[in-house]
Amino acid sequence: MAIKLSPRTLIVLVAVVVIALVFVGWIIVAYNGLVAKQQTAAAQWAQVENVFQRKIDLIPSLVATVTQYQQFERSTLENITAFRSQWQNASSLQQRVNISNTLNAQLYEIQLTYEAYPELQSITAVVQLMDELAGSENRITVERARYNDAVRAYNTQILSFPDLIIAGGFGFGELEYFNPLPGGP
Amino acid sequence: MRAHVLVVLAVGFALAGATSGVAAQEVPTIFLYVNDLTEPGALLYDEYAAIEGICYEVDLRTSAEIAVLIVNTTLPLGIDTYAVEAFEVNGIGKEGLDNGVLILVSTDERQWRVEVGYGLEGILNDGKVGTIGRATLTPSLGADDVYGGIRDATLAIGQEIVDNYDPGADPYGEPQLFVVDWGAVAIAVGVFLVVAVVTKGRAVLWIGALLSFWKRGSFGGGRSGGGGARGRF
Repeated sequence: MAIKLSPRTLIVLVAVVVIALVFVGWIIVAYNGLVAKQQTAAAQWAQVENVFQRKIDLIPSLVATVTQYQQFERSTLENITAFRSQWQNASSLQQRVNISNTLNAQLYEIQLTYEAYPELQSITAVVQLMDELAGSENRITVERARYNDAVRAYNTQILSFPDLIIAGGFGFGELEYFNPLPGGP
Repeated sequence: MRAHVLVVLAVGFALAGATSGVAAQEVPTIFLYVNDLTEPGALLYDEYAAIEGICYEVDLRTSAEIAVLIVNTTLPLGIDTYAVEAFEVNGIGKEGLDNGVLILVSTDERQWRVEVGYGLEGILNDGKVGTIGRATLTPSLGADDVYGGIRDATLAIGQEIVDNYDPGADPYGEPQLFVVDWGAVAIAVGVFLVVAVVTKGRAVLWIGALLSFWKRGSFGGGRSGGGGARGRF
Protein backbone atom coordinates (compact mmCIF):
# COMPACT_ATOMS: atom_id res chain seq x y z
CA MET A 1 0.00 0.00 0.00
CA ALA A 2 1.50 3.28 -1.10
CA ILE A 3 2.02 6.01 1.49
CA LYS A 4 0.27 9.24 0.62
CA LEU A 5 2.24 12.38 1.32
CA SER A 6 0.78 15.81 1.51
CA PRO A 7 2.44 18.43 -0.77
CA ARG A 8 3.89 20.20 2.28
CA THR A 9 5.49 17.02 3.62
CA LEU A 10 6.87 16.31 0.16
CA ILE A 11 8.47 19.77 -0.04
CA VAL A 12 10.01 19.36 3.42
CA LEU A 13 11.29 15.90 2.47
CA VAL A 14 12.83 17.16 -0.77
CA ALA A 15 14.41 20.08 1.10
CA VAL A 16 15.89 17.72 3.70
CA VAL A 17 17.27 15.43 0.98
CA VAL A 18 18.75 18.40 -0.91
CA ILE A 19 20.36 19.80 2.25
CA ALA A 20 21.73 16.35 3.11
CA LEU A 21 23.18 15.98 -0.42
CA VAL A 22 24.77 19.44 -0.26
CA PHE A 23 26.23 18.58 3.15
CA VAL A 24 27.64 15.25 1.96
CA GLY A 25 28.95 16.96 -1.19
CA TRP A 26 30.69 19.60 0.90
CA ILE A 27 32.27 16.91 3.12
CA ILE A 28 33.58 15.08 0.04
CA VAL A 29 34.98 18.26 -1.55
CA ALA A 30 36.57 19.49 1.70
CA TYR A 31 38.01 16.05 2.52
CA ASN A 32 39.47 15.63 -0.97
CA GLY A 33 40.90 19.14 -0.83
CA LEU A 34 42.65 18.35 2.45
CA VAL A 35 44.02 15.06 1.10
CA ALA A 36 45.32 16.83 -2.03
CA LYS A 37 47.07 19.52 0.03
CA GLN A 38 48.50 16.91 2.40
CA GLN A 39 49.87 14.91 -0.54
CA THR A 40 51.35 18.06 -2.11
CA ALA A 41 53.21 18.77 1.13
CA ALA A 42 54.39 15.13 1.33
CA ALA A 43 55.64 15.22 -2.28
CA GLN A 44 57.39 18.51 -1.61
CA TRP A 45 59.02 17.00 1.48
CA ALA A 46 60.36 14.17 -0.68
CA GLN A 47 61.84 16.84 -2.93
CA VAL A 48 63.55 18.47 0.09
CA GLU A 49 65.05 15.08 1.00
CA ASN A 50 66.22 14.63 -2.60
CA VAL A 51 68.15 17.87 -2.63
CA PHE A 52 69.66 17.12 0.79
CA GLN A 53 70.73 13.72 -0.50
CA ARG A 54 72.20 15.41 -3.57
CA LYS A 55 74.37 17.58 -1.33
CA ILE A 56 75.49 14.56 0.73
CA ASP A 57 76.30 12.65 -2.47
CA LEU A 58 78.53 15.51 -3.55
CA ILE A 59 80.83 15.08 -0.55
CA PRO A 60 82.98 12.11 -1.72
CA SER A 61 83.95 13.89 -4.95
CA LEU A 62 84.47 17.14 -3.06
CA VAL A 63 86.82 15.48 -0.57
CA ALA A 64 88.62 13.50 -3.30
CA THR A 65 89.26 16.67 -5.30
CA VAL A 66 90.28 19.09 -2.58
CA THR A 67 92.52 16.55 -0.79
CA GLN A 68 94.98 17.10 -3.64
CA TYR A 69 95.53 20.69 -2.57
CA GLN A 70 97.40 21.39 0.65
CA GLN A 71 95.59 24.69 1.25
CA PHE A 72 92.58 22.79 2.59
CA GLU A 73 92.89 21.59 6.15
CA ARG A 74 92.94 17.80 6.66
CA SER A 75 90.83 18.03 9.80
CA THR A 76 88.05 19.86 7.94
CA LEU A 77 87.94 17.17 5.27
CA GLU A 78 87.90 14.40 7.87
CA ASN A 79 85.06 16.13 9.72
CA ILE A 80 83.07 16.48 6.52
CA THR A 81 83.44 12.76 5.75
CA ALA A 82 82.44 11.89 9.32
CA PHE A 83 79.35 14.13 9.18
CA ARG A 84 78.33 12.50 5.93
CA SER A 85 78.33 9.03 7.57
CA GLN A 86 76.41 10.44 10.53
CA TRP A 87 73.84 11.97 8.21
CA GLN A 88 73.36 8.66 6.44
CA ASN A 89 72.87 6.84 9.74
CA ALA A 90 70.56 9.45 11.24
CA SER A 91 66.98 8.31 11.59
CA SER A 92 65.06 11.41 12.61
CA LEU A 93 64.52 14.67 10.80
CA GLN A 94 65.78 16.66 13.76
CA GLN A 95 69.07 14.72 13.79
CA ARG A 96 69.53 15.32 10.08
CA VAL A 97 68.86 19.03 10.38
CA ASN A 98 71.40 19.30 13.23
CA ILE A 99 74.05 17.35 11.33
CA SER A 100 73.36 19.41 8.23
CA ASN A 101 73.97 22.61 10.21
CA THR A 102 77.32 21.44 11.58
CA LEU A 103 78.25 20.13 8.14
CA ASN A 104 77.51 23.58 6.69
CA ALA A 105 79.98 25.15 9.12
CA GLN A 106 82.69 22.82 7.78
CA LEU A 107 81.71 23.47 4.18
CA TYR A 108 81.95 27.17 4.94
CA GLU A 109 85.58 26.59 5.97
CA ILE A 110 86.20 25.07 2.54
CA GLN A 111 84.56 28.08 0.91
CA LEU A 112 86.73 30.49 2.94
CA THR A 113 89.90 28.64 1.99
CA TYR A 114 88.83 28.68 -1.65
CA GLU A 115 88.30 32.44 -1.55
CA ALA A 116 91.56 33.10 0.32
CA TYR A 117 93.77 31.40 -2.29
CA PRO A 118 93.38 32.87 -5.80
CA GLU A 119 95.45 30.03 -7.28
CA LEU A 120 92.65 27.61 -6.32
CA GLN A 121 90.20 29.69 -8.33
CA SER A 122 92.03 28.85 -11.54
CA ILE A 123 91.69 25.08 -11.06
CA THR A 124 88.65 24.01 -13.09
CA ALA A 125 87.81 20.94 -11.00
CA VAL A 126 87.79 22.97 -7.76
CA VAL A 127 85.85 25.87 -9.28
CA GLN A 128 83.18 23.53 -10.67
CA LEU A 129 82.86 21.79 -7.30
CA MET A 130 82.28 25.15 -5.66
CA ASP A 131 79.55 25.83 -8.25
CA GLU A 132 77.97 22.47 -7.42
CA LEU A 133 78.11 23.22 -3.69
CA ALA A 134 76.53 26.65 -4.16
CA GLY A 135 73.92 25.07 -6.46
CA SER A 136 73.11 22.43 -3.84
CA GLU A 137 72.56 25.07 -1.17
CA ASN A 138 70.34 27.07 -3.50
CA ARG A 139 68.28 24.00 -4.36
CA ILE A 140 67.77 23.26 -0.67
CA THR A 141 66.63 26.86 -0.10
CA VAL A 142 64.18 26.68 -3.01
CA GLU A 143 62.67 23.29 -2.16
CA ARG A 144 62.47 24.16 1.54
CA ALA A 145 60.55 27.35 0.72
CA ARG A 146 58.18 25.38 -1.53
CA TYR A 147 57.64 22.78 1.22
CA ASN A 148 56.85 25.53 3.72
CA ASP A 149 54.42 27.08 1.22
CA ALA A 150 52.67 23.72 0.83
CA VAL A 151 52.51 23.33 4.62
CA ARG A 152 51.12 26.85 4.99
CA ALA A 153 48.36 26.13 2.46
CA TYR A 154 47.45 22.86 4.23
CA ASN A 155 47.62 24.27 7.77
CA THR A 156 45.55 27.31 6.79
CA GLN A 157 42.81 25.05 5.45
CA ILE A 158 42.66 22.73 8.46
CA LEU A 159 42.51 25.72 10.81
CA SER A 160 39.88 27.60 8.80
CA PHE A 161 36.16 27.38 9.45
CA PRO A 162 34.25 25.30 8.38
CA ASP A 163 37.01 22.96 7.10
CA LEU A 164 38.37 22.55 10.63
CA ILE A 165 35.31 20.41 11.42
CA ILE A 166 36.26 17.94 8.66
CA ALA A 167 39.93 18.13 9.64
CA GLY A 168 39.08 17.38 13.28
CA GLY A 169 36.63 14.63 12.39
CA PHE A 170 39.00 12.78 10.09
CA GLY A 171 42.11 13.35 12.19
CA PHE A 172 44.05 15.73 9.94
CA GLY A 173 46.79 17.20 12.13
CA GLU A 174 48.89 20.30 11.65
CA LEU A 175 52.14 19.80 9.72
CA GLU A 176 55.41 21.20 10.97
CA TYR A 177 57.30 23.85 9.04
CA PHE A 178 60.88 23.07 8.17
CA ASN A 179 63.06 25.61 9.96
CA PRO A 180 66.72 25.43 8.98
CA LEU A 181 67.75 26.42 12.49
CA PRO A 182 65.93 24.47 15.23
CA GLY A 183 64.00 26.87 17.43
CA GLY A 184 64.26 29.55 14.77
CA PRO A 185 61.33 31.61 13.52
CA MET B 1 23.01 60.70 -20.15
CA ARG B 2 23.86 60.13 -16.50
CA ALA B 3 23.33 56.38 -17.02
CA HIS B 4 25.81 56.47 -19.89
CA VAL B 5 28.46 58.05 -17.72
CA LEU B 6 27.86 55.41 -15.04
CA VAL B 7 28.25 52.57 -17.55
CA VAL B 8 31.54 54.01 -18.83
CA LEU B 9 32.78 54.50 -15.26
CA ALA B 10 31.82 50.92 -14.36
CA VAL B 11 33.75 49.56 -17.35
CA GLY B 12 36.71 51.75 -16.39
CA PHE B 13 36.71 50.47 -12.80
CA ALA B 14 36.40 46.87 -13.99
CA LEU B 15 39.44 47.27 -16.25
CA ALA B 16 41.41 49.01 -13.48
CA GLY B 17 40.54 46.17 -11.11
CA ALA B 18 41.63 43.57 -13.64
CA THR B 19 45.04 45.16 -14.13
CA SER B 20 45.79 46.04 -10.48
CA GLY B 21 46.20 42.35 -9.56
CA VAL B 22 49.12 42.05 -11.97
CA ALA B 23 50.99 44.99 -10.47
CA ALA B 24 51.35 43.22 -7.10
CA GLN B 25 53.83 40.58 -8.28
CA GLU B 26 57.52 41.19 -7.54
CA VAL B 27 58.95 39.64 -10.69
CA PRO B 28 57.98 40.74 -14.19
CA THR B 29 55.96 38.81 -16.75
CA ILE B 30 58.32 38.10 -19.62
CA PHE B 31 57.83 36.82 -23.16
CA LEU B 32 59.68 34.73 -25.74
CA TYR B 33 62.71 35.15 -25.54
CA VAL B 34 64.69 38.34 -24.84
CA ASN B 35 63.43 40.86 -22.29
CA ASP B 36 65.43 44.00 -21.68
CA LEU B 37 63.66 45.80 -18.85
CA THR B 38 66.49 48.16 -17.99
CA GLU B 39 66.12 51.95 -18.06
CA PRO B 40 67.79 53.12 -20.25
CA GLY B 41 67.79 49.98 -22.40
CA ALA B 42 70.90 47.82 -22.45
CA LEU B 43 70.37 46.35 -25.94
CA LEU B 44 69.89 47.96 -29.35
CA TYR B 45 67.14 46.52 -31.52
CA ASP B 46 69.44 44.55 -33.82
CA GLU B 47 71.32 43.19 -30.79
CA TYR B 48 68.04 42.10 -29.27
CA ALA B 49 67.05 40.49 -32.59
CA ALA B 50 70.37 38.62 -32.87
CA ILE B 51 70.01 37.01 -29.41
CA GLU B 52 66.34 36.33 -30.08
CA GLY B 53 67.40 34.51 -33.27
CA ILE B 54 69.67 32.13 -31.33
CA CYS B 55 66.91 31.34 -28.82
CA TYR B 56 64.38 30.77 -31.61
CA GLU B 57 66.72 28.34 -33.34
CA VAL B 58 67.28 26.36 -30.12
CA ASP B 59 63.52 26.22 -29.48
CA LEU B 60 62.82 25.15 -33.06
CA ARG B 61 65.39 22.34 -32.98
CA THR B 62 64.94 21.01 -29.46
CA SER B 63 61.81 22.64 -27.94
CA ALA B 64 64.03 23.96 -25.11
CA GLU B 65 63.36 27.60 -24.20
CA ILE B 66 66.15 30.03 -23.33
CA ALA B 67 64.85 33.21 -21.71
CA VAL B 68 67.01 36.31 -21.37
CA LEU B 69 66.07 38.89 -18.74
CA ILE B 70 68.04 42.08 -18.10
CA VAL B 71 66.93 44.23 -15.18
CA ASN B 72 68.31 47.21 -13.27
CA THR B 73 67.94 45.48 -9.93
CA THR B 74 66.73 42.21 -8.40
CA LEU B 75 66.32 43.76 -4.94
CA PRO B 76 64.70 43.23 -2.50
CA LEU B 77 64.56 39.53 -3.42
CA GLY B 78 68.20 39.06 -4.38
CA ILE B 79 69.32 37.41 -7.59
CA ASP B 80 68.84 33.74 -6.54
CA THR B 81 65.24 34.13 -5.36
CA TYR B 82 64.41 36.56 -8.17
CA ALA B 83 65.62 34.02 -10.75
CA VAL B 84 63.59 31.15 -9.25
CA GLU B 85 60.44 33.27 -9.00
CA ALA B 86 60.78 34.73 -12.50
CA PHE B 87 61.24 31.16 -13.77
CA GLU B 88 58.21 29.92 -11.82
CA VAL B 89 55.87 32.81 -12.67
CA ASN B 90 56.65 32.69 -16.38
CA GLY B 91 56.98 28.90 -16.73
CA ILE B 92 60.14 28.88 -18.83
CA GLY B 93 60.51 25.62 -20.77
CA LYS B 94 57.79 23.27 -21.98
CA GLU B 95 55.31 21.96 -19.43
CA GLY B 96 56.24 18.47 -18.28
CA LEU B 97 59.69 18.64 -19.92
CA ASP B 98 60.87 21.58 -17.77
CA ASN B 99 63.46 22.30 -20.44
CA GLY B 100 64.01 26.01 -19.85
CA VAL B 101 67.02 28.17 -19.03
CA LEU B 102 66.89 31.71 -17.68
CA ILE B 103 69.86 34.01 -18.22
CA LEU B 104 69.36 36.87 -15.76
CA VAL B 105 71.55 39.97 -15.59
CA SER B 106 71.17 42.66 -12.97
CA THR B 107 73.04 45.80 -14.03
CA ASP B 108 72.98 47.75 -10.75
CA GLU B 109 74.22 44.89 -8.55
CA ARG B 110 76.57 43.77 -11.36
CA GLN B 111 75.51 40.15 -10.98
CA TRP B 112 74.36 37.42 -13.30
CA ARG B 113 72.60 34.14 -12.72
CA VAL B 114 71.80 31.27 -15.05
CA GLU B 115 68.83 29.28 -13.73
CA VAL B 116 68.38 25.83 -15.25
CA GLY B 117 65.05 23.98 -15.43
CA TYR B 118 64.70 20.49 -13.93
CA GLY B 119 64.72 18.88 -17.37
CA LEU B 120 68.09 20.32 -18.41
CA GLU B 121 70.00 19.83 -15.13
CA GLY B 122 71.53 16.64 -16.54
CA ILE B 123 73.27 18.33 -19.45
CA LEU B 124 73.74 21.78 -17.91
CA ASN B 125 75.09 20.96 -14.45
CA ASP B 126 76.05 23.78 -12.09
CA GLY B 127 79.78 23.42 -12.82
CA LYS B 128 79.29 23.63 -16.58
CA VAL B 129 76.93 26.60 -16.33
CA GLY B 130 79.33 28.38 -13.97
CA THR B 131 82.20 27.80 -16.39
CA ILE B 132 80.17 29.16 -19.33
CA GLY B 133 79.09 32.20 -17.30
CA ARG B 134 82.61 33.01 -16.15
CA ALA B 135 83.96 32.63 -19.67
CA THR B 136 81.29 34.76 -21.38
CA LEU B 137 79.21 36.91 -19.04
CA THR B 138 81.79 37.97 -16.45
CA PRO B 139 84.44 39.43 -18.82
CA SER B 140 82.05 41.05 -21.32
CA LEU B 141 79.64 42.51 -18.78
CA GLY B 142 82.67 43.69 -16.77
CA ALA B 143 83.74 45.64 -19.85
CA ASP B 144 80.15 46.99 -20.21
CA ASP B 145 79.56 44.87 -23.31
CA VAL B 146 76.13 43.57 -22.28
CA TYR B 147 75.26 42.38 -25.77
CA GLY B 148 78.53 40.49 -26.32
CA GLY B 149 78.29 38.73 -22.96
CA ILE B 150 74.70 37.66 -23.30
CA ARG B 151 75.09 36.65 -26.96
CA ASP B 152 78.12 34.45 -26.17
CA ALA B 153 76.43 32.90 -23.11
CA THR B 154 73.22 32.22 -25.07
CA LEU B 155 75.22 30.69 -27.90
CA ALA B 156 77.30 28.48 -25.58
CA ILE B 157 74.25 27.29 -23.62
CA GLY B 158 72.22 26.85 -26.82
CA GLN B 159 75.02 24.81 -28.38
CA GLU B 160 75.14 22.51 -25.33
CA ILE B 161 71.39 21.99 -25.59
CA VAL B 162 71.38 21.37 -29.34
CA ASP B 163 74.33 18.95 -29.08
CA ASN B 164 73.22 16.99 -26.03
CA TYR B 165 69.52 17.39 -25.33
CA ASP B 166 66.99 14.95 -26.66
CA PRO B 167 63.41 15.99 -25.82
CA GLY B 168 62.00 12.74 -27.21
CA ALA B 169 59.17 13.12 -29.69
CA ASP B 170 58.68 16.83 -30.32
CA PRO B 171 54.99 17.68 -30.54
CA TYR B 172 55.56 21.42 -30.33
CA GLY B 173 56.45 22.41 -33.90
CA GLU B 174 57.33 25.97 -34.74
CA PRO B 175 57.57 28.38 -31.78
CA GLN B 176 54.82 31.02 -31.77
CA LEU B 177 56.47 34.37 -31.14
CA PHE B 178 53.12 36.15 -31.41
CA VAL B 179 49.78 34.75 -30.36
CA VAL B 180 46.25 36.12 -30.42
CA ASP B 181 45.49 37.67 -27.06
CA TRP B 182 41.99 36.32 -26.46
CA GLY B 183 41.74 38.31 -23.21
CA ALA B 184 42.21 41.52 -25.19
CA VAL B 185 39.70 40.34 -27.80
CA ALA B 186 37.11 39.65 -25.08
CA ILE B 187 37.67 43.04 -23.40
CA ALA B 188 37.55 44.87 -26.74
CA VAL B 189 34.34 43.13 -27.81
CA GLY B 190 32.80 43.85 -24.38
CA VAL B 191 33.79 47.53 -24.49
CA PHE B 192 32.62 47.76 -28.12
CA LEU B 193 29.19 46.33 -27.26
CA VAL B 194 28.73 48.57 -24.21
CA VAL B 195 29.79 51.65 -26.14
CA ALA B 196 27.58 50.67 -29.09
CA VAL B 197 24.57 50.46 -26.78
CA VAL B 198 25.42 53.65 -24.90
CA THR B 199 26.11 55.72 -28.02
CA LYS B 200 23.22 54.17 -29.95
CA GLY B 201 25.41 52.92 -32.77
CA ARG B 202 28.05 55.66 -32.96
CA ALA B 203 30.62 53.12 -31.71
CA VAL B 204 32.34 53.13 -35.09
CA LEU B 205 34.27 56.17 -33.82
CA TRP B 206 35.85 53.96 -31.17
CA ILE B 207 37.27 51.33 -33.49
CA GLY B 208 40.65 53.06 -33.69
CA ALA B 209 40.94 52.93 -29.90
CA LEU B 210 40.42 49.16 -29.64
CA LEU B 211 43.26 47.18 -28.12
CA SER B 212 45.83 45.24 -30.09
CA PHE B 213 44.75 41.63 -30.50
CA TRP B 214 48.30 40.30 -30.63
CA LYS B 215 50.77 39.84 -27.83
CA ARG B 216 54.24 38.32 -27.61
CA GLY B 217 54.23 34.57 -27.12
CA SER B 218 54.62 33.15 -23.61
CA PHE B 219 56.79 30.34 -22.33
CA GLY B 220 55.50 26.80 -22.11
CA GLY B 221 55.06 26.24 -18.34
CA GLY B 222 58.37 24.65 -17.27
CA ARG B 223 59.77 24.61 -13.72
CA SER B 224 63.16 24.91 -12.06
CA GLY B 225 64.42 24.03 -8.61
CA GLY B 226 67.31 26.39 -8.02
CA GLY B 227 69.87 24.65 -10.25
CA GLY B 228 72.41 26.72 -12.17
CA ALA B 229 75.13 29.15 -11.21
CA ARG B 230 75.70 32.82 -10.45
CA GLY B 231 78.56 35.25 -10.71
CA ARG B 232 79.64 38.87 -10.52
CA PHE B 233 81.13 41.23 -13.07
